[in-house]
Amino acid sequence: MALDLKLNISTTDDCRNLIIEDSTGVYDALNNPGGWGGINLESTAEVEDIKLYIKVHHFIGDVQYNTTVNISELINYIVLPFEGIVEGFKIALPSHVLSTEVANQLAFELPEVPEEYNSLMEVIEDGIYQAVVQVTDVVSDPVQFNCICSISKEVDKMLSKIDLHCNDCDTRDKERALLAKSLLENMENIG
Amino acid sequence: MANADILSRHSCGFNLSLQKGSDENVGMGSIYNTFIESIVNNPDYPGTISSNPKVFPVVFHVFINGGVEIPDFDPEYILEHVNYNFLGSHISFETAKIDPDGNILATPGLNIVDGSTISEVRGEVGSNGTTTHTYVEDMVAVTENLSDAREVPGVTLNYLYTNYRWSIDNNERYLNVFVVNRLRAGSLIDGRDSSVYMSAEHPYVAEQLSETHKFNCAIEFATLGNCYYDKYGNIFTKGGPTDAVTNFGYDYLASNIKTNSPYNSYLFRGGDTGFFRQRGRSLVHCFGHMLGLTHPSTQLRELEKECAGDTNVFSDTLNNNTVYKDNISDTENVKFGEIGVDYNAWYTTNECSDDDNTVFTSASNHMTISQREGPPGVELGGPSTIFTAGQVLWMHANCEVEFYGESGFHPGILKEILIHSNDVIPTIINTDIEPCELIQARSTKNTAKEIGGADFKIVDDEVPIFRGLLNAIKKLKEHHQNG
Repeated sequence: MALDLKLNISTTDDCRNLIIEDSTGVYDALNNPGGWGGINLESTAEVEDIKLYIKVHHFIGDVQYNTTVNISELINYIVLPFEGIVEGFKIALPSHVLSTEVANQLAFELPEVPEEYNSLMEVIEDGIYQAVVQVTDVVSDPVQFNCICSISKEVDKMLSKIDLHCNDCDTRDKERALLAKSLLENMENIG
Repeated sequence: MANADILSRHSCGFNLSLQKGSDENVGMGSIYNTFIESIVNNPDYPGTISSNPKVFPVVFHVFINGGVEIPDFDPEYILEHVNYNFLGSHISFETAKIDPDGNILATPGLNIVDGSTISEVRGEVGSNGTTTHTYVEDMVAVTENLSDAREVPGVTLNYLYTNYRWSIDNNERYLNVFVVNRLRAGSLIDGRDSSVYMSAEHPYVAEQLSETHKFNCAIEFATLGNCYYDKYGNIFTKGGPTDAVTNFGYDYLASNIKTNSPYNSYLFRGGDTGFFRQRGRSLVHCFGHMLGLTHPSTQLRELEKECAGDTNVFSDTLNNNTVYKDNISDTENVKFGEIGVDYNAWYTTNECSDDDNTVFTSASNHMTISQREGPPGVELGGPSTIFTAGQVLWMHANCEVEFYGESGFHPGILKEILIHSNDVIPTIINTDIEPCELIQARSTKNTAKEIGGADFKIVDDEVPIFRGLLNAIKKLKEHHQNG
């Protein structure tokens, strides 16, 4: 079978970077027929051979936008395990770079970028993201990532302020915090 | 609050579940309502969640030899009628195929229980003594006591639920429906025995009180629909949901041994002068409750019927002096929201509405009138009877609930049943496909393509849900900080 590019997407703990990692692995006829090498594409390539496309599903005010960006200057954000070997590459995209790319794309598509949009975001905005990576002529399937990094921290704060074992306390804050945690789980599992 | 206040003159015993939730402080208002509202009231949600099909496995526990026989009891036939009333909702019901031990059921969805062996010893030893109640002679008591001094005779529903409901390793896997000879709720002021005909539990109350409050529905045979024989001993024609008449495959035997009176009067058996012609609608009503719906208006005490005020039934504490609305925007305010009245009352007046044209709609809602309908000789059901769009959304929202507890996340009862439905209604796997075809299909998955061909997934439905949940959490956080 052809090379089956696999990606892992996450954020850094501080929510400031979007991480896209190659998890394709090495070709193995039995256990990983879509891996690098073997009868598939070899992983010897240069950074310039890799392209990253991200579709950001976001809101500005109450209006939903689905903005697809092609990350330029990827060389500044990518790390290869070995020079000339792209297997296991890792991209760490700073939030302000992504939001700037989105703003540029919006400027291209719209008469003007909405004023409320912050093109220099300090953290990766909570929302739904899809990523596609292209290595030479092989394109990965889109991978969805529901980013809940910032709101997770807010919920953790809510939980940390309650005493789960206090029977005499006002239970409303506890209920709200547990409910928020429940909703958070739903957000993570959408899609 | 005495249970009699809840049950006397009601046709439906669901309010007992709400009352119990209120008495036990399960937080219907502060948690449940917030949870469901965060889904239902988001304008972006309705199309998404309601379009996600949900199929519930159902098992009927049919208690025979207590004055009834079942010459042609067919769960699939009954669910055909139920599903007809749920058409367009993306919610449906299917007979369970597998029992809790993993055996294939001889008749899907049917568990026959011999009622002649069932008895319950009630009362505290050492006080007023104990009494043995049998299913055959005393039938079924919806609740134990009418008041502190007067008990309702019969084997209690709780006893049947505890001993005969199905689950797998104590996990919810079925919608359990108990079909019994008669549900008793004590004596009315005029001395007649009161029936509630059917009873059901609210999923959130059952979730919170799982040790004592089981998630089930109970219904009398007579309430399902027409019986097998007419009063002359002829077999009623068995028709489908759109046919003029039908029978539901059961029949009552002559008389109760103890009282020497019919288990259920002929009026309640769907005969040509009877009122029960609703063709599975009481079961539809029952499932509506199990999916989280209340009556459009809820009045616990029955002395004076009133229209509902502005107070939402999902309040933390319910009391006798308030008539509650159901918190669903498109249902109508009606009196007699829990009891059956004859069709004339419903089709000619609605004292809670200023608009005469709304009468038919309010009377035809599945959660309003549940027991009796139609003039003599006419069986009603089907499309003239509806769930509103708001009710459908509310039911779907209840199916999406997950809870976070001190031991981590767990799905709500309904979601638990849906997640594991394949355990008891297994999907038939199509084995006609040659393995080679599967390999061929996979091998073309990731061929090289231009970026223009690397289609991103369509997530139009998912983004608004994500956004709605995000906003709901932000709202909770604001209250958290201000509280």
